[in-house]
Amino acid sequence: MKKVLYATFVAAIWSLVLACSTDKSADISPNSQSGVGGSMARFAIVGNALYCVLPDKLQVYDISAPDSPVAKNYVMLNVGLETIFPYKDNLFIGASDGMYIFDNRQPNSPLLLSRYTHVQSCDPVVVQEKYAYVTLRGGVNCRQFISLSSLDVVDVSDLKNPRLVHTQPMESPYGLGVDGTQLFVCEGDNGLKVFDISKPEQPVLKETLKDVKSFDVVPLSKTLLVTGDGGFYQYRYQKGEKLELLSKISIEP
Amino acid sequence: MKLSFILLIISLFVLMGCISEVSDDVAPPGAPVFKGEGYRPVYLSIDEMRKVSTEAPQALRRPGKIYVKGSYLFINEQGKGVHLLNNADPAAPQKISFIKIPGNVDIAVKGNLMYADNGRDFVVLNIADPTNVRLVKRIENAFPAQSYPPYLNAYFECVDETKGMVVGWEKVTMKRPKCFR
Repeated sequence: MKKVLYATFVAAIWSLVLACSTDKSADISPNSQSGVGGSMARFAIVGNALYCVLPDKLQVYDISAPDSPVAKNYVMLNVGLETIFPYKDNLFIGASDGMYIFDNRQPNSPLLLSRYTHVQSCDPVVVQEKYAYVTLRGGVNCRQFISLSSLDVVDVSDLKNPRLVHTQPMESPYGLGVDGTQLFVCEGDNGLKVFDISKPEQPVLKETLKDVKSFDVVPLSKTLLVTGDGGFYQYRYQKGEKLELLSKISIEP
Repeated sequence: MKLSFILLIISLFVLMGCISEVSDDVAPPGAPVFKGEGYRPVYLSIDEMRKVSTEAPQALRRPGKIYVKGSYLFINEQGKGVHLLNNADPAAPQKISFIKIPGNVDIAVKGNLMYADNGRDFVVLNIADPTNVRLVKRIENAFPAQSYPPYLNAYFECVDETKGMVVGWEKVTMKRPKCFR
């Protein structure tokens, strides 16, 4: 009897293992964490807090009851908020009058640490270790009477006192993404650029994909996802190597 | 004397005519010269806006932001909804469905739930079955009305709220519109 039970038990376990290993389809399990967005995102989930960047405020929704978000605190800020990038215990918000840095160790009550107004930025920010990378696109709303665009590197090791360490001109930058020693910058109709940031305070342009009209980019475990007016592209990226196209979904009229 | 005065008046009128014509063509300070294309608001009635549904996969037309969750990939179709794909193999992404969410720009996903903007509303969708996405919550008017397109250096037709709710913008050939951002 015991043997039969044991055999049944083993069979049951085995069939479970088989079921799992043969199920190659994408998996959304109720217990899994939140996903990953690009630098252009206005929504971000950190634990049980969902942050929405509205034009003039940062709104927090509590999603402890996931199917019923409850509006909690909000932080009123100047008009012109555009993007949010959560990193470690902080939120980095790209706005038309600069970059705002929040402490979100209390996820439902983010605390404003600093506002970096040196960059009159309209555009997104990504962060890795002690550096924030910001693209600034020229335009009247962003940079009064200055029509230059740039890529700025900001030292954020002191979150209360961010410091510009590098700036270089860009053409028409939108989203950007960072992973290890590589920085990817969407240049709109002017293509996609790859920088080597082995020295973060001195990004070096390594590759320009002129034909890849790009808007948003997500680097994720060696796969670079790119959207733009040409469609959706995926590349394999590796340190010191050129991007290798994996797939493309073209735009249809 | 009289003649020269009349001539002066006439020339003033001519000049003024010239100036107003010129100022029509001159770009606002810092703005690029208008090149014949601008953004026109796409209006929808509130009833139409709130029609969220799961459709068969669709072609990418104006892809926007990207969101990744496990092997699922979400690509926003600007102002229309979200393409849902299985991206387990990035060399061969498979379209699963198109989630129609009028006015959509942003999403975020946790567990089986997708959070999205649906025009001015904030919606929560259950995507456990990506071919049959269900609306589980709608928070009305969570977001402010769109008064300008999500682009900079853009000329656009000013919003007329009597025409409905702005759910997106289309780039079209037009006479130089009054609004610029």
